[in-house]
Amino acid sequence: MKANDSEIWESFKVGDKSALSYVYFQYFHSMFQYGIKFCDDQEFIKDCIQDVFLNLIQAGEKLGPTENIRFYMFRALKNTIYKSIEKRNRDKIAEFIPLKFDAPFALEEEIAEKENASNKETALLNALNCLSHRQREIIYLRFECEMEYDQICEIMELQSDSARKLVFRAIRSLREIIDAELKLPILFLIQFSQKHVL
Amino acid sequence: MDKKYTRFSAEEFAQDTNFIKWVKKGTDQKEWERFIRENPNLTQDILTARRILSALHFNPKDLQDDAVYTIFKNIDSFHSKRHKIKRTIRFREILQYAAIFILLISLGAAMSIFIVGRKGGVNPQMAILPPNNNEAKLILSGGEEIILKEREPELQFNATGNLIKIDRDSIINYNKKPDQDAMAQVVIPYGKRSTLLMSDGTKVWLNAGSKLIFPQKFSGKNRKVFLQGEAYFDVFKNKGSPFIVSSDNLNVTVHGTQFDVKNNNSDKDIEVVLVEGAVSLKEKGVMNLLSKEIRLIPNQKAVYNKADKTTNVESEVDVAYYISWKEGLLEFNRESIVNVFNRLSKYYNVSFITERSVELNRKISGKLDLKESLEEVMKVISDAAPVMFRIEKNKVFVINKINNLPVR
Repeated sequence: MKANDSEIWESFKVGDKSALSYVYFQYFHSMFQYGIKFCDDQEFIKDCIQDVFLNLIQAGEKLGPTENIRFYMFRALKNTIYKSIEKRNRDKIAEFIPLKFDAPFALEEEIAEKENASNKETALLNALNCLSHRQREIIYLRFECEMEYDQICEIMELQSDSARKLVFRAIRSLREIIDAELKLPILFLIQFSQKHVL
Repeated sequence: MDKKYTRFSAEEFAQDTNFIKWVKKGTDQKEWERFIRENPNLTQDILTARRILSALHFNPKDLQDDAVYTIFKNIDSFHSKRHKIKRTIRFREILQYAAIFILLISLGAAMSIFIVGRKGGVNPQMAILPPNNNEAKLILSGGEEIILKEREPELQFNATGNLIKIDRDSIINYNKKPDQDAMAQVVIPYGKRSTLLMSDGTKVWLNAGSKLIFPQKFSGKNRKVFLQGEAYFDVFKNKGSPFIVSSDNLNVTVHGTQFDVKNNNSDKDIEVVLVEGAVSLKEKGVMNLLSKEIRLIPNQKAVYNKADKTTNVESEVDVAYYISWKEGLLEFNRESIVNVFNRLSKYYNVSFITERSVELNRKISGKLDLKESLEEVMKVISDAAPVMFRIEKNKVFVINKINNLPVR
């Protein structure tokens, strides 16, 4: 499917309707999930996605080529969210507000709901709390979206290789905590992996 | 399994693409299990890496399905406006004909939909029946039947109705002198389409599953033809002899200009869409004097309900939408999936069998190129709707898309 992306994109540019519906239905969901992490306002993100498409359709053949539509759409969405927030805040605050990847990990939500979290859980929660917005975003793009590091750096305007370093640091901090709690026999691991539990 | 893994730390595992795929999707499960058995010293690291990955997971946010379609509708209509210029040009080419209209008359019983019970009706599926698999044929006024072999046969009658050209090369010299108003017929089964030039100079595009009965040689005050199914007429102007298309219980009269008539796939309605000029609709029957005549102005659509004999008129319809089939295209604008399947079963002469859970009333929009293979067309549909398909001979099995977790 990836090899086909540039062809689909060329059809999209010249106004092919089936290319439009392909791109839309293929990427709407992942765009929404990515966008909602910056601003937990469904209506706002939906509007932003709509704007992305309207702008792309408007630009038509003036658009550049791409070999990875999802990457292109993510970058376009992020720009649109940024501009829309800027527009919304224009009257209120004059200062620069960076776009924050402001979403909790599933585990953070889970532990926060519990009344009696264990020591281990609290330790893990603390470690996760220490992860910055940037680290969260890289982790999301890398582990949930399986995006390549160079693309992540481009979307996030990072120096090449710094995304990889930030992920490594996050993983090492978690490793120390998890290592301390795990002293388990092999048998358990095999059962564990058979269930493919995440 | 790559040898490099035997030297991996927990951190490295947690960042390895193959390892992540195994943890998230169970990819290469057996290989990883064997690797763990062969390298028990790595157990701790692998387990730690799994825990790290599970800690770094985000929950997807719920989103109402409706929203996806509402937004698409906005985008799609913007897209249509943006690309309208192109469409207008194409449409002009069509408008050059003297008089144009489409008539789509009831497809009758062949197009029925029914519920198939399976194992005592526990899990009924919806099935769209395969249309009759007849051959396309031309029946001349003397009763001679000529089988038309091409997928889109082209027929031409000369002005006297005794020379008939079929496709590029074969010409029939019909020596019998046609009787006054002796009728010929063209029958087009599902999976085929045809064009026909009649002896009065009127050109007809016959859609799949249609039958047209017409005088081999026109004469007299009226030019009257009978249609079942769907057709597009390019009527040759002749003020002295009005052109009338007769269907079940409705007559459509052309007043010298261009219009377009359509009948729904269901056998309940007859639709008439006017492109240019004027047409009138009149119910047939003994109470002729009482039944009122309805006149249409351009871009209007009349819908005649056969059951309660009422007619509704809509203004400013998108005419191109109704005639796209003639260009080998199928355009949908918020059409339900079941209607799309109905149409496709006609064009490709296949039957659709859909799983019960498939939302048949889900609305989809788009344009399908009927010159493409059914497979290609179904791919477009499965992108626009959450369905998957499998084609076996002349059956298309449709099931819901399996919603794979993790959200990408």
